[in-house]
Order: sequence, then C-alpha cells, then structure tokens
Amino acid sequence: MSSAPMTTTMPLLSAAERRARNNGLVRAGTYAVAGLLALWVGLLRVPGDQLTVYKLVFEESVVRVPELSLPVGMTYAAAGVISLFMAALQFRAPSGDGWRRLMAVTIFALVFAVLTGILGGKEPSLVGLTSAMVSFALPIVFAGLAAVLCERSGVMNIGIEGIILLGACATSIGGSLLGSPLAGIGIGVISGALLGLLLAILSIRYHVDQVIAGTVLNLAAAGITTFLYTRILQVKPELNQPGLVGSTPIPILSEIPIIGPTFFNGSFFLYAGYFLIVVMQLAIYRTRWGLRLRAVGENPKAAGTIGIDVLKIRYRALAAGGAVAGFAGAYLVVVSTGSFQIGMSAGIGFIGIAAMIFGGWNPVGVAGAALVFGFARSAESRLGTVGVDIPTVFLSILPYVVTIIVVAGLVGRVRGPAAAGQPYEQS
Amino acid sequence: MTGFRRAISERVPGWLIWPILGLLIVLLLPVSLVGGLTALVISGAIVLGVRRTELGRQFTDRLKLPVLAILSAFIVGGIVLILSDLEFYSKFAADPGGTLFASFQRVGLAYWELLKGAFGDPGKLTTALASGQPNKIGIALRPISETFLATTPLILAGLGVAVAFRSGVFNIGAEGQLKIGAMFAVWVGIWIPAPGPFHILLALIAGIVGGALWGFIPGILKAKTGAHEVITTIMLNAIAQQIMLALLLSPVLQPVGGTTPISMPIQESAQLPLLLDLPKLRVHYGLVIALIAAAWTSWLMFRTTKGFEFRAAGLNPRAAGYAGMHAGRTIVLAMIVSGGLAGLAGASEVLGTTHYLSPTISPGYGWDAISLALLGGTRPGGVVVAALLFGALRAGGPGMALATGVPIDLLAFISALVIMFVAAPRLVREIYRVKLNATTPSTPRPQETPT
Repeated sequence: MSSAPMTTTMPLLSAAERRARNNGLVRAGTYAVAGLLALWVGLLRVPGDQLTVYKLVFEESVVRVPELSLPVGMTYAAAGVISLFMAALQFRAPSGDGWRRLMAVTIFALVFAVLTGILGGKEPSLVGLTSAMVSFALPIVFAGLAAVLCERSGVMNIGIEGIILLGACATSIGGSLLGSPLAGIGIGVISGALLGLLLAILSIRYHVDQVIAGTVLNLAAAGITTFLYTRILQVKPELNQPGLVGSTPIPILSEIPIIGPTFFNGSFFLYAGYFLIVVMQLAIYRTRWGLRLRAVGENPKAAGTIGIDVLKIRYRALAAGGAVAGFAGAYLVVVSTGSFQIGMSAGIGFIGIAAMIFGGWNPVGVAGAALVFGFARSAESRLGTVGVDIPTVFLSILPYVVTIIVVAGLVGRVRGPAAAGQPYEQS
Repeated sequence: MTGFRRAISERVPGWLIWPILGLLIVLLLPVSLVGGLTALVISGAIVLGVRRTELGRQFTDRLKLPVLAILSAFIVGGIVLILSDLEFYSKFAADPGGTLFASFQRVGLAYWELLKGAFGDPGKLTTALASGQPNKIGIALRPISETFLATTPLILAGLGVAVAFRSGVFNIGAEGQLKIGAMFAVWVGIWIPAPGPFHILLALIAGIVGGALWGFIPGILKAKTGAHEVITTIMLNAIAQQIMLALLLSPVLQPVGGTTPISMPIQESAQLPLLLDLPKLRVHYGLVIALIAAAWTSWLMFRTTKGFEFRAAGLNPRAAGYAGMHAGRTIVLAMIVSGGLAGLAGASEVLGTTHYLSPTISPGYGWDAISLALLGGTRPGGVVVAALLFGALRAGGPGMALATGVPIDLLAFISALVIMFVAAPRLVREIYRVKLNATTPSTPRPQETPT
C-alpha cells in the first residue's frame, strides 16, 4: 500500500468527476455483460427453430396489422450485439453526455429480446406479461415517490421498507376491525404518515443519524409485525381478512388492445398512482411549495436565511412520504394477497429508493424506472416457465443485482438533493 | 411533580431513580415483592458506593445512556406486550386496576423467564454442583452456555459493524457477509482434506476471505462510484441468501440424494472443539476466537496507523483527505476488515455450533450486530459486553416463548428500540431529565464525501 504522493498536481479530475467516470464505466461494463449474456442465450441456450410471431391483433379487435415473425435466438443475439456496441460507445466516453440515449437503446433491445423469448414459449399474449409488469411496478412507484418526497426535503429515508410493512399490517388489522378494505387503506395511510412523522421527530428533533433512524424503523417494523402476526393474527385469523379491492376498468380506454388491459384495467390504486405521479411532478416543479421543498433539500441554510421554515417543510414532507409508503403497504394487502404476511414488503422499499435514483429524483422518472424494475420482475417470474434454460438463482438475484448496478452506475450522473442526509439546526 | 423530582434528585443521583423504579415495576414486583425490594436496596447501595470514587463516577456516567436505553426499550416492549393482548381491553373495562396489575405481572413473568432462560437457575446450579453429577451440572449450566454460544457470532459480527461505523461506513451487510463466510468455511470443512488444527485454521481463513469479499464489493462501489453502502449491502444480503439457498440445493453442498436445503456435515477434523466437556453444553472455542478478535480489533483501531486512518475517516473524511489519507482506500480496507470479521462469525457458527450449513444459519445475528455495535459505543470492549446482553436475549427467548407464549419476535422489536434510544441521547435526556455527557457513540455520516 504505497502512500499516494500528495503533490499539488495530483488531482487531474475532481472526486466527483472521477466518480462520474467510474459510474460510466460501471454502465459500460453492465451493457457488455448483459450483451454477452444475451449472445450466449441467443446462440447456445435457445432452440434454433423457435419463432415468435408478433401479431398486434386480438380476436375481439377489428384492426389488422401485418404479422411479424422473429426467430428467438437471432433476436437475443442481435440484442446482444447492440448492447455490446452501446457498451463500446459508453466505454469510449465514460462521462459523456449521451448516456441517456445509450441506456435507452440498450434497455429497449434487451427488453425486446426477453419479450420475444417469453412470447416464443408458452405465453399466449403480451397482456399477461405487461399487466404483471404494472402490478409489480405499482408498489415500487409508491415507494419511489415516498422516497422522492423525503429526499427532496433533505431527509434520507431508508425506513420506507419498514413503513410499507407496518402500513400493510395496519391496513389488514384496521380493515378487518372496521369491516371494509377502504377503511383499512385509510388506517394504513394514516399509520404510514405517523411513522414518517416519527422518523422526522427522531432525525430532526433528536438528531438521530438519518440512516440509523431508518434502519431502526426497518428493524422495529420487521420485529413488531412478526410479533403481532404470531400473537394476534395467527390466533384470530378473522383479524387478517380486510377484504380485497377489485379492479375497475376505465370504460373506453380499457378497450385499446394491449395498452388498455395493461394500464386502464386496474384497481383504483393504479389510477391513484397516475394521479400522484402527475400531481407530484407539478407540485415539485411548478408550485411555490415545490420550490421551497427543493430549496430546503439543496441548501437548507440559504432557505432558512430567506425565512423558509426548514423544519416545518421537512416534517410535512416526511409525513406525506410516510403516507405514500403506507399506501404502498395497503396496496400489497388489499390488492395483491388479501391478507398480511410476514415480511411481505420483500425489499420493495429499497428497490423504490433505487427507482428514485434511477428516475433522477423526479416523479415521472421514478415511474419509468419502476416500470423497468416491474418488467424485470414479471419477466423473471415467467422465464422459468418458458424454454430459456438459465439457472434459477440468476433470476432470483436479478432484481437485487439490477438495483446495485443502478445505484453504482448512476449516482454520479443523476444528482440528488445536496443536503439529503445531513441534519439541520434551525436557530 | 418537578418539585418532588428535584427533592429526590438532591439526595439520589438523578438518573438512578427512574431505572430503579422501572425495574421495580416491570421486573421484580410481580415475581416477589420482598426479593424485589431487597435487590433494589442492594443495587442502589452498590451504585451509590461506586459513585463515591472518581473512577466509579466516570464509569457509571458512561453506563447511563446504554442502561437507560435498554431499560426504556424493555418498558416499551412491555407496553406493547400488554396492548397486544386482545383480552386486555374487555377485562380492562370491567376491572381496570386488577387487570393492569395482572398484565404487569405477566410482563414481569415473561422478562423473568427470559433471564432464567439466559442465565439459569442459581438454586438448581448449587444443588447440581453439590451432587457432583456431570449430567446435572450440564443441565444447570446449559442456559449460560447457550448465552455464550449466541454471544460468539454476535461479538464477531458486532466487531465488524463497529469497525465500519468507526470508519464512517454504515455497513449493514453483516448478515450477508456472515452467510458468505459460513458458505466458504463449510465448503472447506467438507471438501478439503487436511489434518486437525490445520483444517480448522484453513476453514476459518476461508470464512474470513468470504466475508471480506462480500464487504469488499460495497466498499469498492462506494469508493469508486459513490454508491450508498446502505442500499448495496442490503441488496448483497438478499443476494447472499439466494446464493446460499441455491448452493444448498446443488451438489456443491447438498448430500447425494438430499431433498432439503441442508449441507453435508463438515469433516470432524474441521470442527471447533468444545470449551467444556460436559453433557448438554455446546459452547465452543469460537468464543475464544471472538475474544481474541476483539483484542485484535482494539489493537488495530487504537494502536496502529491504519486504525488511526479508519477513525479519522469516520470522524471527518474531509479533514482526513486534507491530511493526506487516501479516503477511498480507507473505505475499502475498513469494509474488508468489517466483512472479514462478520465472515469469521459465520465460520465459527458452522465449524463450532452446527457443523453443517442450513438456511437458518443466522437468525438475524447480522442485524443484532448493528444494535450492539451502537450500544457498545463502537468500541471493542463495549461490543463484547453488548454482545453478551444480546446473546442473553437470544438464549433466553425460547424459554420465554415456551413458558409464557410470548413470541420471540418481541425481542427483535426491543433490540431495535435499544438502537433508537442509544442513537437518540437527546430523547433519553428528555425522558429521564438526566445529564448525559458526550460519551454517546459516534454515529457515522455516510453522506459526507471527501474531496
């Protein structure tokens, strides 16, 4: 370990620039690995004669579009080549500006290949895949939006996972006691907001390190929900039956082929998700509150100097973020499973944080990132059932690996609020 | 009320009154009033006596925060226990006083069983020792042996977390590092032919290497790309779990024809010997290794240049950078050491306790490690003491669950509360109106990035 000579000429690049370059290298490496994997799958792991016929026509639909048939293996191989090419481009200019386009092309090529592979197997139609994508993505969207609210105000919320879990538990018990899933959702949202407030009180008033406070929340939530499950819900299962919320298709829009059943045929959580994305996007970038929120997250001292009540904004942002996270928990119970299960948040809170980074701390971006994660999950749950021969462990670790790559490949590129994670003392 | 408080605090050191009252209410009153009062008087006298000396005062002052934190956590846990009893509400409406008293008693009984499960019954031990039968002695000593058994991995993983915290890295990946370490160690234990002590050494080193590798990944990612270690370590925990499950179902670890995810047993030459050769006692030389590791960590952190760099990076990475220390390299090294210690914890579990690998190799040791690293003030000595406490919780939990039907997960909740109170000295100060001097554990600031 040679001690680096600290001469004045040493740093040619600043730390931030160096990290941005390394982020670019991580991305390039990821594209390369993904490309090689796609090539390997395409050339060696798929029976050569498998064909996928893309018909954008459904029995009930009148419109006919020409059919498109693609050999699965060749599609994978082509995606691999494209991905490798993008890797080379990214590698040549690791911190260049065109990274967004490179990433979009790579993701599109790989998604298309995986899609072709899945449809080439037993899967009859796109709709099953895409609607699974949306239902996986939705809680990630909520978690990501909650994270955005908190971090924009300058408080790093690692505890979203715990809030989701406790929100789910509260939803289930509340809904069962009050006899209506809607009341349960209300309880879940309220308890989420209270937990957000608790986090705010701990980190703002009592100066607990934000990461520790969030970790405490996660551990406490895991402990208390398991405790309540074994002590109450197992003994009295009638307290774990909040009921389900059915889906309400939107009259005309849900008739559109593929898009309709995917995006306009869900529970009201889906529409609430759209609403939240739009409202938050507008609120953060177009309102006075949003300007203040961003100011508080970027430079609390300056914001405080011009008379903004930094702490009040942070308290409210955390309560709102907690409420959204509680809503995610309610979704898991009331739409997905119909009851509370131990550990049912299953890392959604953390993937939500990754979606926040991936989406550049902005609500629409979060939604896009969550769709990518949702696609990965829905493809993962189907790849096993169709012809592609890959060890299942690779599929089961895929979401986590993707999250790590997102965090490692993008943090230097998409910059978060400067003051996130730092305590602020208001005089 | 304040007048009353001040009147008392003039005679008794202010902070003592609340823990003692709490202890009285929660723990001792329901079991035996006379015994409780005696214990109260004796412990009060001891503390007062100790505080007459300057050294004693310093020592008890330093204990204030952890003691109050633990106490508060148990009180909140007790409240949760009472409120989660569904019959409590209907009974409370009928007979508030009696129900409340009965509930307190039940909480006290649960905690009492916890203590008994962790440290054993002194009466039983004396009769067993008098009888001289190894079987009886073993049974009487079993609770405390189980406590030490659970303490072993907790010390090692806790040391790992503490090293990382001191260096400004919030490593919450001890759970995954422990599992990878256990995997490496069990692989060497099964497949590498080697003579006795050498085999153990090899397997332990494999465990360290595995854990260090799993610590190196988030370390290098943080240093080179700025990826936040909290997210990467949590993801690596999940990945470690999946890899372990996959390997346990593959011929790499699974016995031929096996169907359950349980590995083959390790060779006898790789097993850590037992500390005491009495029936029913499972505590093994892993405990000695853990204590040696604690001494080594203490030496590393407080007696070497590298340790100085670690601590400097944790206190103020920017200043450390200006002083010519290489921030990125420090982070990576600290994570390697941290992961290696956690990996050693996994190795000691596999080689000493279970002799095979199963998915339940760690019932959350990596998470407890965070609590106890903070509780111990991220100092090796503090970690050992805190690990003993958490080991006692782990060992006593099943006894409590068996005797009173209280789910063990209450203890996970309580240990999370312990971190909360330890990390929030202001909160503790406000509740108990005590002075707390700056002996609070230094909490890392992961967000501060050196230039």
